[in-house]
Amino acid sequence: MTASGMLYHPVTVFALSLLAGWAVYAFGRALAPASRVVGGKLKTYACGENVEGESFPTAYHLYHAAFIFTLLDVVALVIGTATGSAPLMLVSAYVLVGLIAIIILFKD
Amino acid sequence: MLDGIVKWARAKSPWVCHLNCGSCNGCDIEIVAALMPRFDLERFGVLLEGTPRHADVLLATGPVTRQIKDRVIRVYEQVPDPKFVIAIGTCGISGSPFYPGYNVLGGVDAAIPVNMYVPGCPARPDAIAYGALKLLATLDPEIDAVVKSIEAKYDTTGLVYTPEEMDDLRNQEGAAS
Repeated sequence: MTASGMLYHPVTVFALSLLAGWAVYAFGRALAPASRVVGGKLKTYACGENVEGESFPTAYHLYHAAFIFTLLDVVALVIGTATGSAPLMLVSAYVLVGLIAIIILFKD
Repeated sequence: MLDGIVKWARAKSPWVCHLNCGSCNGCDIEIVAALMPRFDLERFGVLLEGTPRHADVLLATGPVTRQIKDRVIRVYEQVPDPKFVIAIGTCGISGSPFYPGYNVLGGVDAAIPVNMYVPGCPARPDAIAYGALKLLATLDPEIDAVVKSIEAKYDTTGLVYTPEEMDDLRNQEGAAS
């Protein structure tokens, strides 16, 4: 692989873009005064009102259909876009992993 | 050099957040008027922000009441450093004429530290603009030169007060009474 090929490789571009993002935040951090967390600094801004966070239980059992659809949709998409020369064993293993994921999710 | 650039950036774009601490809205209307084209605070890079987290300067109006004190302090804590507070109006300076009512603690400095006082009932938009300019003068020597030229040309006595001038005034009034 040539040097320019390595430079334009997706992995290299991804790493460089992460580095650029980090550099921008690091520059801002270097310029900004030291962070002081006092009182309600980290609380949600609500015109000065003290808003306590509300928690609600995550109810996965309400999203059975959505989960099954998402999983099978992704599996179908990957298999559908697999090349013709893809090994059958690999495709079967992928489908099996998807099925195992569904069984684990809805075990209870 | 970097410090110079940072100071220049801070002086050229002071974003403000307006906080009504119990005002009758007279000074609030004048703040809006100061931002409108006639007096045009925005030519100094001032932008009115809806959240204190994006602001550099807090424009506080009204007397601080018992009910609002915690909320004022919370909003002040949510403004990132470096931050400045301008107390606008006579109520914002001393709570007058509502102080010493049963619910009024005083001016804005009863709750949070103040960097500039703009008197008036209501404070005039040009006084608010001059107060903002004088605050920026502490950051930028160019603006400081502009402020000094204004003070040399016009009588700006009583238009705005720095914290030191306000302390002197209060001491004089205390000694007089």
